[in-house]
Amino acid sequence: MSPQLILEQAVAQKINLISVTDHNTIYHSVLACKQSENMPLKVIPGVELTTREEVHLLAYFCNIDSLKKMDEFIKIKLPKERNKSEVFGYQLYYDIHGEIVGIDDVLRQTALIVGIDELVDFIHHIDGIAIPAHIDKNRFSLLSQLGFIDKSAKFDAVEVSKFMWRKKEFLLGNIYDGFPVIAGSDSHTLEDIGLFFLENFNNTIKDFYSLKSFLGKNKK
Amino acid sequence: MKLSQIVKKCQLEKIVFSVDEEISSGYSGDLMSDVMANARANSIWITIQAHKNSIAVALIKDIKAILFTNNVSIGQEVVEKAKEEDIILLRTKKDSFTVSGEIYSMMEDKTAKD
Repeated sequence: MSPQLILEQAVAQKINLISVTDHNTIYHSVLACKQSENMPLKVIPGVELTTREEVHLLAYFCNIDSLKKMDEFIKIKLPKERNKSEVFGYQLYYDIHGEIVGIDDVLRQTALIVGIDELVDFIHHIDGIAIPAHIDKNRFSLLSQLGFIDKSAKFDAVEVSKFMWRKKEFLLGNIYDGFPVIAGSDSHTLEDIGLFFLENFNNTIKDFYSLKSFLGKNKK
Repeated sequence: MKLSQIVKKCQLEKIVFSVDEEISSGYSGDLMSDVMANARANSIWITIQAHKNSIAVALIKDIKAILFTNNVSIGQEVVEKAKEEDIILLRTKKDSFTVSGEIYSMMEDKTAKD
């Protein structure tokens, strides 16, 4: 699943806008953004963070520099442990040609030492948007970990699983529990890419800014 | 303290029990990251999190047994993984507070007597 192959697959599936959000790391998201410059799709810099409460939180940014600021914060808040490859598998680094160039031996399958509200504040401080991931899932979600959605929380949207999106027949612009709702493909393999996507009517959402503005308009 | 003594005294259900292990401490926690940071080797881990990731955490920390509380349902893939990795799985109807208290007292008593 190198960034090059992800982009090629997305283009083949006629997807216009994606984000590559790895757990607690930005390396391939940055590569995907750079690599997409000469391709017919847009890539939003992003990352999926794990809060201290073990809630998965998506963060999207306007450019690579902001994503790198997020990475500086991740470096400070990640417990200093090594990856256990026999349990979590190898975390491989790819270059733009899709060749393996190294191994990431930092433990990423763990929580950052920062609570969700503080993390959301930091993301906003560097002009990003913060969206709790797959809130309906029974693990690592806002609902599984915290029991309910705090209506006063400063999330820009909430993400539901693709199963819930389909079941509730959601559309972009809908509200769920007071927050604009989106869904992700949760693609973990190349074959997943294109199986699920959001309909972008009139191509309203083209990039980070239009996404941010769209979600801001729909917030109650 | 031998696990079999704990199982008997607290009336725990054996789900996977290959070898009777010697336990030197216990840890009670439901956040993977917390257990990974704080549990000790050769311990019994008391939790409600009955899923495959729990087996991975037990392996990493050399936890000998996981005790699932509140009679939580345990998926077959969790049982299979535990058998593969030789991790003991136990279950109880009691909640974490109660059973942790019981096991703690047992271990403290033993330490006092030794």
